[in-house]
Amino acid sequence: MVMEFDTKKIEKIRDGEFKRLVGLKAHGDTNGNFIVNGKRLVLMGADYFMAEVLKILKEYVGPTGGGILYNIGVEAGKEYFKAHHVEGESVEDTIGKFFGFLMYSGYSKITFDGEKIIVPSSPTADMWSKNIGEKTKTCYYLSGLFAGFLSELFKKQLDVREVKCMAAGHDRCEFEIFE
Amino acid sequence: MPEYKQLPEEEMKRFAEIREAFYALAPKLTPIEPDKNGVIEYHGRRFVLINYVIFHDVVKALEQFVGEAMTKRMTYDFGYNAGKNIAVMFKRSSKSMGGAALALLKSGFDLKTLEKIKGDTPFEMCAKIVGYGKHSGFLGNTDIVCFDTDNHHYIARIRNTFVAAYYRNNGIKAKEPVCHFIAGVVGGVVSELVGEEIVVRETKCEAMGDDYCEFVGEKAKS
Repeated sequence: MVMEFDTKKIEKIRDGEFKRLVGLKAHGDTNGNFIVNGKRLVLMGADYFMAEVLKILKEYVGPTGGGILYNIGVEAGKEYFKAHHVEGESVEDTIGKFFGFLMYSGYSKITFDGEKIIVPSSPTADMWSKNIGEKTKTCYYLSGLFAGFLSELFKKQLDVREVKCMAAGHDRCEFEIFE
Repeated sequence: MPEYKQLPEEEMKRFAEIREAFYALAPKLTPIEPDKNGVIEYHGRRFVLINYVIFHDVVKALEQFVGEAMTKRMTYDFGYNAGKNIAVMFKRSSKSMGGAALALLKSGFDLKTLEKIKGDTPFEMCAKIVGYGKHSGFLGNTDIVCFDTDNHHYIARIRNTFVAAYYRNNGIKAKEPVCHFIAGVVGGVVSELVGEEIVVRETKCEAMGDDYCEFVGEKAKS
């Protein structure tokens, strides 16, 4: 799929959004509510969420396990877009803020390389490699997250497929976008 | 509540004081912030911040594919492993936390607060861990009603777990307890700290309309 946008601008907005979120110094309040952008967040170990979740799903339902996490990611990506997109803002602004939020959430410095989405250090892939070890792709939830978000942004059904994964032995995780 | 030895009131109060002291210091002792590359890592473990709705969606998807009973068991096991990892992390870092606390003292934090978190008994570690749990958005205030390490009976009352919060915030009343993951976390933490396998069941749940979630732990039957 051909996508035209300014990657450098996305990165600048990503970094600005990341800095803004870090500057909030957010954490659980006196009742344990950790609220950012109006949503309750929870700090979870990436070993059990999602590496072990994926492992258990694969054991029980085989390759469909990845598909289940992908679909959950799609819905989450759509929800994120609806909650945060500002009417009239540029594509770069929307994507940049999304990547900034994911960076703040521990998903590393996400960017584009041509038309591929690059995740330099996926927490799922990292923890899978360290704790489970089997060489395989793991970032189904993240793929779905990108697919759901971009589908809403470009108003068309898009799928995202992970084509390289750190857990499969590559240097970084790469995702391609398909119509 | 089962017929367990209730903790004296001054010990319940002490637990709450340690919890609050650690919570106050947690931003410095166990920072949640990602580094400049967007990585949240603490003692070799990666962490992610997720919307609490996602956890609910994962559980529901699991129920659809592997059934409710298996999902309850699986989420309990996830929680148990998570709890063990948290307790191990705290045990390993307790020395460096002592050093960090000293640095905080030098930069003006009051000695009374710092004194409260220096203990490392299982009881004191539990109090610190629930303070961390509050800081990281897992749960609200936790009180201990029973902590009997002789007979291995434990009762915790937890408010505002992120699991029950989903039900409350969406006006859904559950027919039975839903915090299987949290029960597992409690089980894992206590098991690691007391050196015995402790099995935990949830006996009250905010998702059912109760005032708090109650977790009862006892030694696993061999």
